[in-house]
Amino acid sequence: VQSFKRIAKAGGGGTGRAPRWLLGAAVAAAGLTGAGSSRAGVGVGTPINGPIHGSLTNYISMEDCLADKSFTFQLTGISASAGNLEIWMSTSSASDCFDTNVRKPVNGGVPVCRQLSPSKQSISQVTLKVKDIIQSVNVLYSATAPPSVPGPECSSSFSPNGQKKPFYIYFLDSTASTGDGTTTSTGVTATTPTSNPWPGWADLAGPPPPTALNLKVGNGILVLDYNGSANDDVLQYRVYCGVNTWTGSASSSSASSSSASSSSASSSSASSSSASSSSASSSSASSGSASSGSASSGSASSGSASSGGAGGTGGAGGADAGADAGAPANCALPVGLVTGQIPPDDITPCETEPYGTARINVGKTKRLTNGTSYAIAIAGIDKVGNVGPLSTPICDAPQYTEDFFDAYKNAGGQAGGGCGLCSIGEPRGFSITAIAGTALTAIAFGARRRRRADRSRRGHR
Amino acid sequence: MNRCCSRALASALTSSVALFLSAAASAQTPELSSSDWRQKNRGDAIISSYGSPQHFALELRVGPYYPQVDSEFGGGATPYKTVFKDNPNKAAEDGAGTATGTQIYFGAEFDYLPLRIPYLGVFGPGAGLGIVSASAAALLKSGPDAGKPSGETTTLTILPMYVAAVLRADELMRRTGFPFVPYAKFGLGIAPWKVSGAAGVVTYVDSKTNQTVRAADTTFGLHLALGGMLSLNFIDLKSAAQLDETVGVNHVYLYGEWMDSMLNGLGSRPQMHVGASTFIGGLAFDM
Repeated sequence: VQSFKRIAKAGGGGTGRAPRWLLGAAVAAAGLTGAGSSRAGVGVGTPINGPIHGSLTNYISMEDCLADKSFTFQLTGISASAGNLEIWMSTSSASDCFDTNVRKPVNGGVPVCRQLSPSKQSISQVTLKVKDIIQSVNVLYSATAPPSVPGPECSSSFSPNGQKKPFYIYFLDSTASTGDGTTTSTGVTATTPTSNPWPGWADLAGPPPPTALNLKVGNGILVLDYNGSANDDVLQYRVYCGVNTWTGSASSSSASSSSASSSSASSSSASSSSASSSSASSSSASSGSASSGSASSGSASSGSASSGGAGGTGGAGGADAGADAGAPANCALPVGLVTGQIPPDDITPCETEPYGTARINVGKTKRLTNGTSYAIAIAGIDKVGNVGPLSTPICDAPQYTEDFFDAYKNAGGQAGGGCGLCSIGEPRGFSITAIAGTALTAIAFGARRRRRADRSRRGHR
Repeated sequence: MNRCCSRALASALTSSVALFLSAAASAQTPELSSSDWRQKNRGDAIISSYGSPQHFALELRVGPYYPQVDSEFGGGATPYKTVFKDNPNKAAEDGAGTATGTQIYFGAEFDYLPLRIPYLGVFGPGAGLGIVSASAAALLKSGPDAGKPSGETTTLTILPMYVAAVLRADELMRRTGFPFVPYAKFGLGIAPWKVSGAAGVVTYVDSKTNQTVRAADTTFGLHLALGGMLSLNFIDLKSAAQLDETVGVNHVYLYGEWMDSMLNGLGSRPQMHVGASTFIGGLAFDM
């Protein structure tokens, strides 16, 4: 509730904050949508409070669910105080929950619509908790769950590949709604939706990790190539790096995880391991308990297709908590980072690059040490802030290189040490290009002025 | 093209457009300049044939550019050739899209030509600005893979500029209609340059003096160009006349020139030889 007021007060854009015009536009759009409703007993809910993610006003993220946020709807066309208000949800725009036949599950099967319980009602407003919405989303997208099962809270099991899923919320007068569709053997009735539900998106899982990681070495950098996530809502990638903590055996790997990252680069042979760039194929052995995030974050990554599913319960068990079973041989991530798990918020990524970056120079922000083996892994972030699971790490060591200037100086060249093009490419620099352009423009205007003066003199004669 | 190149090129094009517009606006006045020498050499027929007065020229320039860096070493060492031409995996890097390989010069030149020399042509100062860069993978220095390409790209970026005296001998075309204009340019050149890697401009630590040298500097030199322009007006005289009436462009040319940027420091302190002797072509406009 406070978020909308805060946003309206701030009136600015950015992540987590939407400008006032955006809020107004959202409300107006919802109102216009509702204005099309002509069915008696069908109300229109316009959200006046709720989570906002930049320009996205009808998205629910994992953070929204964990923070127990809620939506408040302004109702029109129906009164919440009459006692007849029912709020229903479906996951398909083709399923109109106004139809009582659609709302009825047949033979205890998976329902098409599910009733929500508003946590607060007044004459014209109703509040829905995000957790309740997500519970219903999980039930409705479940292939087997009966309607009586409440569904897990803040779980993204409905979206194993991290894709967002739609849902629709109906505000109905239970005494007015009727069955006007055709009942089929499965209980699903095909009707043309006319109830103008409020559409939303449940997006609780980050994108799957990039695959086919490949490292090339440079002078104080490692150049990372990868195949990006398949999701369509990736915002950026975070690259995590740290000294390779591999100590020589599988069992000791987990031990090293708890002994900080003081274990230096194991050997220089790590530099030749760049071939181990297979896609993320971690087994489910990686323990969910290793993640420092909440339980839900573990489950959020559990279905990640390319990570192979970092199940919260299977695999290594408590004794190996913290072990990165998904990592390849000779390569181990620093403490707190586990293949297939969501990286904790308290670990700062080495690089952050926008979606679409084909190649990332790791070490650009802070140079890496030549000769030291580093473990590199990458995770995606979607547009509502969900962080995806980490990719399988890959290790290599930066090395000294000979660039053109090295070759020039080693050959005996004496030039260098000046400014040259130093200002080009630096946003705040005084570009020499700008100087030259200004000079050319000045010449042109000077010449033009002279021509005008000439003409003026001729005119006076 | 990398970001710096794009920015520089954008700046150059912006300047060119600004010049073009200002010059075009000025050139629409159908009056003779008082700076013309003997106006009796310019009969009414000539003036009427060529519409608005001509005082400016604009060239859009493109061509190959191979800096003569290795000439500094008298044939003893060839760092430019080694890194940018003989790099064993440069072709592969080209395929990966990280190394440009080919060095292409893009530029523009603007001339102010206030003086008309009888029976010869127009004369005045001109200034040009261009950009060229070469990229390749840096080579690993040590270890079992020493000498092989690394994942880091090394890039030499040069910004050749010059101011020159320009003579465009267009009297032959004006008097006979033969659509060819030879020209010559001579002046001073200046070329800032830098060598950059993944983290920006690189540095070199001299093992003897332990001094760190930044890979950026400026080279001075002479600039010489000889070329010829083919007027394209004959293709469609009516359209050419309309172009003159509307924006003041008298002629559109296709041109080619031999350019010798003798950027070697003019005998002063040692400077990287970033000049080139090459052929440049493009479109030119006189206004």
